[in-house]
Parts: sequence; C-alpha cells; structure tokens
Amino acid sequence: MSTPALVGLNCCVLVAMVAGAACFHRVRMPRPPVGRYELSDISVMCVVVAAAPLLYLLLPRAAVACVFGLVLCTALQFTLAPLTGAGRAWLIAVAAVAANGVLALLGRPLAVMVLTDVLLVVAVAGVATMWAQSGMRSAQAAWFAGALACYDLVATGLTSVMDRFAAQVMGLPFAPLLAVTRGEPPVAVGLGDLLLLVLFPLTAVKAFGRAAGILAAAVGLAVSGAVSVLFARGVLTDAFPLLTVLGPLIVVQHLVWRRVRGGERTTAEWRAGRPRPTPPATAAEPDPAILGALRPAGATEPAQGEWLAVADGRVVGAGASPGRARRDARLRGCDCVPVVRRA
Amino acid sequence: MFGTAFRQLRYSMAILRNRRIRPGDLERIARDLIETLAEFGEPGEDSVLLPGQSGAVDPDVRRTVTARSLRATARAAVRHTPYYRRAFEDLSLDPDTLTPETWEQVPVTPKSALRGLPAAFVSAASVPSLMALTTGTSGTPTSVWFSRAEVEVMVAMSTVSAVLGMGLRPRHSMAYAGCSRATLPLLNVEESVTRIGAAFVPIGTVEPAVTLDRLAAPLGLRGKAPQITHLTVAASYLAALVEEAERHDWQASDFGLESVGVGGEVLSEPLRRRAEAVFGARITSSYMMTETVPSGGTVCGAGHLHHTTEFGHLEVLDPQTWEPTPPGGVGVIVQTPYVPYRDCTLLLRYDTGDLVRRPETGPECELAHMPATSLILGRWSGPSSRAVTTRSLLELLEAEPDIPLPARYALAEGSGGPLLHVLTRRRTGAGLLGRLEDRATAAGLALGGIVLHDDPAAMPATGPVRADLREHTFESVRPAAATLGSPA
Repeated sequence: MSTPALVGLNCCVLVAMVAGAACFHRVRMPRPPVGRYELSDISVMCVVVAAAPLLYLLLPRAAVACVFGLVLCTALQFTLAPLTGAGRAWLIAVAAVAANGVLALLGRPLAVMVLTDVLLVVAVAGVATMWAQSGMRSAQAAWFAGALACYDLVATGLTSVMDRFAAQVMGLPFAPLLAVTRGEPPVAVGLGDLLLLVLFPLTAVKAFGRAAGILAAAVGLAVSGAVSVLFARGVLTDAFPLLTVLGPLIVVQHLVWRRVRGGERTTAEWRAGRPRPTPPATAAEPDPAILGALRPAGATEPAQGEWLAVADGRVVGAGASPGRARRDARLRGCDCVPVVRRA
Repeated sequence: MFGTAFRQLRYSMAILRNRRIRPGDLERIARDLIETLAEFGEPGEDSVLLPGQSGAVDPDVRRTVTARSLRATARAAVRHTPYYRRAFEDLSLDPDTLTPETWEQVPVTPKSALRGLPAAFVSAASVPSLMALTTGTSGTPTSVWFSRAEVEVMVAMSTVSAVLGMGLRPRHSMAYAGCSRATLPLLNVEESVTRIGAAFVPIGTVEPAVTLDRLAAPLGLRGKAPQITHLTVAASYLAALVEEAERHDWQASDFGLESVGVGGEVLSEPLRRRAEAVFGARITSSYMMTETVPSGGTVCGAGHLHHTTEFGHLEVLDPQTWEPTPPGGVGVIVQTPYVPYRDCTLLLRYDTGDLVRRPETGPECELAHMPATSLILGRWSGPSSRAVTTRSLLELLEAEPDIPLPARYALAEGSGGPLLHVLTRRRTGAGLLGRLEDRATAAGLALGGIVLHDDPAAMPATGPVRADLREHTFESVRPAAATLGSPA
C-alpha cells in the first residue's frame, strides 16, 4: 500500500477526531426531554451494526447508495442544525447529498470519494457528539467497543462478510468508508472504526476529564498508525479488523480510569466542571456535624431546655421542642442551621 | 433511550385511540425523567410535551381529540355504568353521535347523585380498589372509587408534575399537612416524592404549633436540605399556621421552606402575602378535586386558572339554567374526566359546584393555549353565593390582623342584603368595622351590613373549613421527657 495514502488516511482520522472534539465542546446538541443511554440501547446499536452489512449484501447497489444517502443526509442535518438552524441545515444537507449523487452520475469517482469523506467526517463528529452529550457513559462506550471488537473479529477476520460488503459499497456515493484510495484493497477505514475512534475520547473527556480524552485519542491514533505501518511494510495485505485491537484497549482504558477516578462523572457534573464524580453512597462517611452533636463540647452560654441546638460541636441554643431549640439558636445569633438533639 | 421512546409512543397511541393506558408505561416515563435529571441535572428540550405538562396543541388537533375523547368517555359510561345507561336510555341518546357541539344534550350530573349511590357510577369493566372520600366540608363526604391502574397512572403523573412543575429534587423534603384520611392526595404525594428521591414528612392537620415546630426542626440528613423545603397544605390550615406564627413571633429565617403548595380551598391574596412573609417561601395554588382527577387547573403569572384539556373537558355553566356562562359571567365548573385516564368511576358533565368567572377577553399569558377562568371564587350554594363569593369575603377579612385566622364568618339574611357576621379578636384595634365597611364598598360587595363578634357563641353558625379536621398528637399535651438513647 502507498505510504503517502496511509499517512493521508491517518491525517483524515485525526481531522475527524479534532472535528468531533470541537463539536463536542462548542455545540450543544438537542436531546429529548426524557431519556439517557442504557445498556439496552447499546445492545440495539450492536444488533443494527451487525445486521446492516448482511442486509446491504442482499440489496442492489443503487438501493444501498440511497439508504446511505438518506442516513447521511439526516446525520448532516442534525449535526448542522445547532449551528445554522433546522431549516438551513436541511438545505445544506440535501444540497450536499444531491451534489454527491450528481457527481456519481457524472462519473467523477475522485470527487465522489472526497465529498463522501467530508460528509462522513461531519456526520461522525455530529453523531459522536450527540451520543456523548446524550449521556452515553464511558462504560457503555466500552461495552459497545467490546461487542464490536468481537463482531469485527468474526465479520472481518474470520469470515468474508466485510470483504464482500467493502466490494459492494466501494465506489458508491455515501459509502460508509473513509477512503483515501480505491485500490485493491482500498486505503480506508470503516465507519464503525471511525465512529469509535471519535466517540471514545469524547465519552472519556466527559466521564474522566481532559487527560483521559487526550489519552484515548492518542491510543486510537497509535492503533491506526501501527496498523498503517504494518500495511506499508507489507506485513498486512488484506482487510484488518481494527476494532479487535482498538476495542480491548478502549475497555482497558475505561477500567483503569474508572479505578483511578472512583467512578464516572455524569453529564451534569461534566458541564459543571466538577473534577471528580460524586462518591457512591456506599462510600459515604457519617456526617461530621452529627458526630459533633453527639458529644457537644459545651455551650456558648448556659442554655436550658429538653432539646439542644448544636453547631460546630457546641451548644448554641435550647428549647422545649426541636423547632424552639432551632429558633433559640437563631435568636442567639447562630446563622447556620444547627443539629438539634435531645439533651 | 430507545425504551423510553417506545413507551412514550405506546402511551401516545393509547391516548389517541382512547385505549387503556398501561400504568407501566407512565411509571417508566416518570422513572426515566428522574434518571434524566440525575444524569443531566435538567430535562431536555420540549419537556412540555411530557404527559400532563399541557403543551400547546394545534387547535384543530385539540378539537378532534376532544371529540374523540368525549365520545369514548360517553361510550364507556353508557356501556358500563348503571347511572349513565339509564340516563342515556331515558333521553334516547346515542353516545356515538355526540360531538362537542351536541355535548350539552348529556344531562349534568349533580354531586348529590354521586353521593347518593357511588356504585352507580362505577364501571362494571373495572376492578375498584380504593375508595377515596372527599373531606365533605359541605356536610356529607362524597366517595369515589378508583382502580389500582388509575392510582398508578395518577402517581406517575404526579411524579412528572412534581419534577417539572414544582422543581422537586432529591435534596428536598416535602411535608404533607393535609388531612391524614385524604388517602388519594396523601398516597399521590408520598409515592411521587419518594420516587424522586426526595424525603416525605407526613404531619397531618395537627395543632399549628406542632406543625411549625416540625417545619423549623433541622433534619440533619446528609444530602438533604437542612430543613423541610416544601409544604402541601389546605388554605384554611395555612391560615391557622400564619396565625400561630404571627402570634408567637416565628420568623421566615426559622424555616427552610422554599415552596408551599396550597389546594382544596380558596386561597386569598392577603393570606398568600402574609404566608409569604411568615415563611419566606413561594406560595402557589392549584385546582384539583377528588371526583375529577387528573383534570385540574394551574395558575398562570397573570392570575388566571388554566384548565388542562389533556385529561378532561371543561365547561363553565350557569348553575341554575345549565346554559353556558357568557364571557365575564360567573358560573360553575362542570367537568368530564376522560377515559382512559379514568376507568373506574366514570363521570359525564359533573357539577363540581366550584364558582369561577369567565374572562372578558382571551388571555395573553404564557398558558393562553389552555382554557382560562378566574381563580375559584367559592362554592355554589344559591344565588347569594354568586353575588357575594367566598373569595371576595376572604379577600376582605384575611387582610385584617384583628381577625383571627382562619377567618370565621357567616352570612345571614338582612333587610338591606346579607349581613356579614365576623369573628374578631377580643381586643381589636380601633376602626376595624369602618375599615371593613369601606373596603367592602370599594370592592362592590352587596352586603346589608357587617356585624363584629368577639364571642363565637354569640354569632351565627360559621361554615366548616379543612383546618377544623384537627388531628390529635400526644406531644402537644405531654412534653417528651426521654433522653437520647433511651428506649422511649
């Protein structure tokens, strides 16, 4: 394989990652009023990913191009909608998809490949951002990566499903391949691989912070680069199941970061800039204010009553009932809400 | 995400086809809403589209849905309830031919009919499981049967409303100071609050001093606000709390209340202001009654009461002729709660007896897409109740600090118009009568005169209020003596 083409492919992957990160940090994607990602959603996505190539193999090439065109058009629209407004986003998406279709009909394969690549990068950045901002957790991305790694091993490494699928879609407008050349084999990375390369750094940023995101992106690029080197040296000659390497690495990263950080941040915690997630309830310690109230040090001044108000370990008020003790504390100048206990 | 969408779709399909709602769908939507808050801190866009949130609907769509819902409700009532089977047979009415325009052919159902034989309104196709009794301040409580599915649907709706409407979150604590026998609201509040992860504190209508003490007492719970943050209460009991707090110098800073939700009775503006000053909390009111749940009303920023069109059909009718009340006029609310939200006790054109005024012009507030009336003016008990409404009297009386709260009054026939007898404190400030007379004249109240009493025994019988449903506790009569760690 051509070394410049492989370098170009990795540059395209980097561009997709940067586009995804920019979109994730600068664009707030709409989300439904209710709902967040659950493991069942990941299962549905895995089933769709596994079934789609098999279905496409049964369809005529024109029908496959139409399906991909529709999917890409929709993905482009919701990616661009927060930037341009929904109406303009539809116009741009439809125009871009139509232009690609016209170029295909005019027999301009290079232009089709370049435009498809551009549209794919934009759509992948949008989809990854939407998933990450819709609450997809690092754990779910890891499950997704793990499942796809198994699938990739079977579909690409052990059977000819992906080879036949690549042959079916190669040269089609909207083909789900980020391709740099159309040779045999093409210098390209599949849509699923590209999606996980962009998605996991975003979920890692959200769950564990910027360092985790940068490391995830670096690992993804390193895997892509290493495979490219193997192709350039002729060690690899056929299609390689990238996710069989990337998937386990994503799972490992998730497990390590989870252990280091003690859990994942929620989307709200990420947006609020909290450095670490809220510790789980099982790790919560007894409230020091209550501990202090069990053995108060002494009163600021003598207080009488069956109920004592205690703040900072000192009696600050007293009364015949809990409410009266709290009020007595207020009258004695206690600004905070004390702990009230029986004398 | 996909599961939530699927359940929302299935719920919407049930509504559109007037088929049975699966309580599990609504429960799941409510649970997903709570999980959404845990993940994102706030619901996503378009949360007004969630069940019970009264989002704006295209008028044509609303008309179509109303027509279908009315027909479906009438069909179910005629098919399964003895009362409406007989009523429709007597009038030779076919429920399948009814439209919103011909809906007036259905006879209005008086409260006395439901009170007289509740079983006549229970659908033979349902499984009654809970008998909810109204407080019966008018003398006899009304009993309404609910099925288990209805209760579950209502709890899920309440959960969604508590999250989106009240802004209830896990750090909050909700105290319920309504009547402890009011099973339906108690169950609704307890279930919805605890599902959200907030804390529920049942207090009941105990001595106001005890309630204030409970509200002021620090909770000392990790992850919760230091004191009770929300209170649900009837208006007259709120008045009793305000009276106790003002007389014993409780300050807003003694409490941690953020919101007080008032329902069940007329909340006057003076009482709302006084309660706001005493508790330092937002005082809100809403409208809902046991017989017509989940239909109800929400108060907008402009002071209208907006009635949901999602759960029932609202009419404002003249209580004497049952003709529609013209804009600007005062009439009673007549409600038809829809199936499938209701499947046990089915009511068509139910006379709630609650008086409202229709606005002169269409509202232009944030809830303008929902039918609007004035706030509840009072209860219909004859022509004089429309001329001098409960609200107008409470607005007059509850602004006066010399009148103990809740205000006790009675209207008696007089030669020049009804005489207003008012219970005052034993030592009132000078000029109370003059002030009341001036303000009554300024408000245009058609009173024959005002008579002040400082002895309740000397005045005509006053009407009961919910604050009178006083529950006893031992703590107000027997101070606690046990010490920390003792078995007691």
